[in-house]
Amino acid sequence: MIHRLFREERESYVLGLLRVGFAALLLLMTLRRARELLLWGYFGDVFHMPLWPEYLVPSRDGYAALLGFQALGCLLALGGVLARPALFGAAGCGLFCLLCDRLQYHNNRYELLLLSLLVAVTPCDRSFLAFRRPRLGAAPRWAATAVGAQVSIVYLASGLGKLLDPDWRGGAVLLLRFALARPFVDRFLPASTMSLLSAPWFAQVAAIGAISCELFLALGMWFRRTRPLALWLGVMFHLGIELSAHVELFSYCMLCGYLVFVTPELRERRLSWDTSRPLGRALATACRRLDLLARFRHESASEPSRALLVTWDRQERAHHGLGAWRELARALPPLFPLWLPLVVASWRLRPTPPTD
Amino acid sequence: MLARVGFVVLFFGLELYGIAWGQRAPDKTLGFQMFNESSRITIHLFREVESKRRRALLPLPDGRWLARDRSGNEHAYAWNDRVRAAPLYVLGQSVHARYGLSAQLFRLQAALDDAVRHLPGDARTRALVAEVETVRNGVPGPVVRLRADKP
Repeated sequence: MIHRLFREERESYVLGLLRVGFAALLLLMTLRRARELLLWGYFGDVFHMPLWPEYLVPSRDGYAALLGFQALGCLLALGGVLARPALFGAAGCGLFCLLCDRLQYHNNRYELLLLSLLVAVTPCDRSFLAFRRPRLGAAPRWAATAVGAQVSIVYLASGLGKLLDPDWRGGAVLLLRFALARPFVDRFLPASTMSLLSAPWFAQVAAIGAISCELFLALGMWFRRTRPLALWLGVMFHLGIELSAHVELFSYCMLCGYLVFVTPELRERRLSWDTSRPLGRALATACRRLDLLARFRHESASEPSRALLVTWDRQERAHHGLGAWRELARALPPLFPLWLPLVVASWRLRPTPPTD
Repeated sequence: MLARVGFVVLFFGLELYGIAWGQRAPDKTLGFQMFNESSRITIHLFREVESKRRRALLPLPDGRWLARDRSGNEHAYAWNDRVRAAPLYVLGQSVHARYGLSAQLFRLQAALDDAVRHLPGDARTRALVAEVETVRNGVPGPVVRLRADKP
């Protein structure tokens, strides 16, 4: 199994998008630190707590230069020029700076840097290139698996930490967090919402739900049957965090990391729009643009038909009506939040078996 | 293949060591413990001065004070001159203890140690003292007293 894990080769196209995502997030983090340097001054001039020995903490100019190298590395990685060493260097610089002051340490920054380091080791420099043609084909997969493992480790460490803490699993921590939402709830939601959020039993149920969710996210993405549900739950979980807590780039970082769980092979599904209708033509164009992961072979039915959209899954089974929209939502990232509601709405629909 | 296995073992070995170390560290650094507490602290800062051979605590509600050096020249000092990290710079107000109570008490002790090392011109201050009201996950806890003596 270990031999297979380290020797396996799969299509690497999606990893290019992963590189672009992490280079962009790392660039945002670098710009944020540069802004902090300009607005609040150099952290080394005031009270700081390095994890390294103090003599390794750079001077103000040295720190500014490191941020400059980091930003340059991110830009090169974004454009696909020396992409892997540039991203590795940028993440390495970022990790060194992060550990120069544990007062500025945040788990989300650490996770972004670790994931960026691992992404730089994957064959992520073959697609999404600004100045070269993409080079499609199989490439080693082991580092992408390591990226997935890194995503899981965060959920596992966080979930287990909460599970072992009686205050957390008893709901005490969440109850106080819910109390912080009072101004928003009082303004925009019915009064009964706040009484629900103030109930200890509800906080306990929510805590158990959150812990279960994190543990399911850590494991569920590794199994084909549970993967779509785990990814959907993860998207909702991070949308919730983003709406309620604003944890810098954490949610974007984790959502970007989910790309490694996408099946690497391209265009194994088909879809066909009825392009005799203006709506069909418009949606066909939009769909081509949204298909960032190259999931579909895009076809069009020029003859008028009853169905606006028909999709065929990997087994060549045809899906019509809501079932077709469900398959579309499953494969296009911007529509993915709609996938589970469409699964529920179309649970009675059966696909048409493939014809020889 | 050996290089690949070596990289993975080294990377995740170091990371898991960091996580294990972070569980024991007061501020859970490297430990991936997100939203671990909903605790609050209120920091009251004092400076200990010697007056008529007795030591007295002078409150510093806004963290600012004036003190003379050995030559009699007066200097202005402020807690925020050195301590700018949230929530340690906030005095006299209840604030969220990010990463938990133990994290902020640990960092506050280090901040006090750092601040007293940077008062060379203040001939009168003997120590900086912080009294911290603590509330751990909604339950009021003891008032914790931290001090750092001037070297």
